[in-house]
Amino acid sequence: MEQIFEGFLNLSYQQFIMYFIGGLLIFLAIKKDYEPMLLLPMGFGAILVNLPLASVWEYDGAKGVLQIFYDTGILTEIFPVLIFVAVGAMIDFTPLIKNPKMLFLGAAAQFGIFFTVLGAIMIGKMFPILGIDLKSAASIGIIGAADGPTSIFVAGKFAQNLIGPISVAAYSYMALVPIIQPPVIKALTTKKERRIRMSYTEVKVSKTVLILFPIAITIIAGIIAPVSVPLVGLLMFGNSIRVCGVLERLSQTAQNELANLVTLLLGITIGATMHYTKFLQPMTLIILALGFLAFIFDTAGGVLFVKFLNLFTKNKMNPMIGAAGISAFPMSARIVQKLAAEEDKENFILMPAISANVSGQIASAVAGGLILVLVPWLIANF
Amino acid sequence: MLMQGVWLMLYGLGGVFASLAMLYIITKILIRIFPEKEEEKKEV
Repeated sequence: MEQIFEGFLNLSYQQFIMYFIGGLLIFLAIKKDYEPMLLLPMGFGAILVNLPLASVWEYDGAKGVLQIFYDTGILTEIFPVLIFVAVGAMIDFTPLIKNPKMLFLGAAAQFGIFFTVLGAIMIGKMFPILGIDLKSAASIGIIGAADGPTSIFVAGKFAQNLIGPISVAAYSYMALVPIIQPPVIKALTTKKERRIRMSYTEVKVSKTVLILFPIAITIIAGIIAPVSVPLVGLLMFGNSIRVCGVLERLSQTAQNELANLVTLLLGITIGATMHYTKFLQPMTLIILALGFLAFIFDTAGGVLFVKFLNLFTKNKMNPMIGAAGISAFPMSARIVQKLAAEEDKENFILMPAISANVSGQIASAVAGGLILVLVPWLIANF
Repeated sequence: MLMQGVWLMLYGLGGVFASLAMLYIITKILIRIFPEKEEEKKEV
């Protein structure tokens, strides 16, 4: 009889709050179509792990199914790395290779990461009880990479206890890019600037270049930040499969079956880290607030960088494309094109925006790798 | 720790720009060494 009521006896109001949060994620996924492939499994995972006794996580001293997924997929970083293979197979670098100066816009739009790290450190100084050290600050800052797997990868190395809220923030804000970016872009640009047209010259890219490009990135990343190789290297491996032209089946598998399967497991496993004892903490609210800030400053960094370049160049660029330098692909580029069309219906800046957007995907992985190298080095030497 | 954060920003952003600058140079070189014509010749 006691076993029947065990569930009732182990219920608390915090669990109901988590059911609401899980339900909200599912609602956003289904009704608003915000990153449904991740938000729905995450929401469901959050509900599962907050059921009385949390048997999906642990029961009678034995690991539950979701803890096994967590240990094998997240702690070992297999899931984010496999997602990178899949994403690599989906990316077409051609627009970026055609217009390589857009690479710098991707770099500028990583500003939010580092600004947010500073913000997190300052909050940690104001509220020492939160226990924010450089590693947790860097894990929070990486939300600004606008790249879920990178955020999970870095948080998995530096702040495993924060993986849940960091992933929720990263994926939610990626989904909210169409809402977050336009006001920031409009606040930092004038109508005249938003109307700037950009010429587009069609450059043909040979297949050899397409094949050598991911190999070159891997070697550069491996030399500058060897720790970043699991991120950048696997992303580029996925891309090599795509562009080589002789592995169509593997490319399709990486883009579809692998991506779908790992995304499914990743989402529900991340959701399972949202147990109320860990999630309903002041730290979660701080992470959500700082993550929001990261996206704002990413956008601002990109836009202001283009405005800065325009001071020295003859052929002015539309500053809005700087905002597309974040990793949220292709949403960010589409938003920029939409804003340009609002000002001038015949202004087509989608191609340079796509180039900047693709660059953001490379830059975010590089930034994640650099953080993994720099943080332990700074802790040891400063 | 604040100074560590400042250094992280400087080295981090500097590192991202440096990496992508290297990539920019390599991309330009690759495009020059392997222009699109190469494939056309092969097809012929």
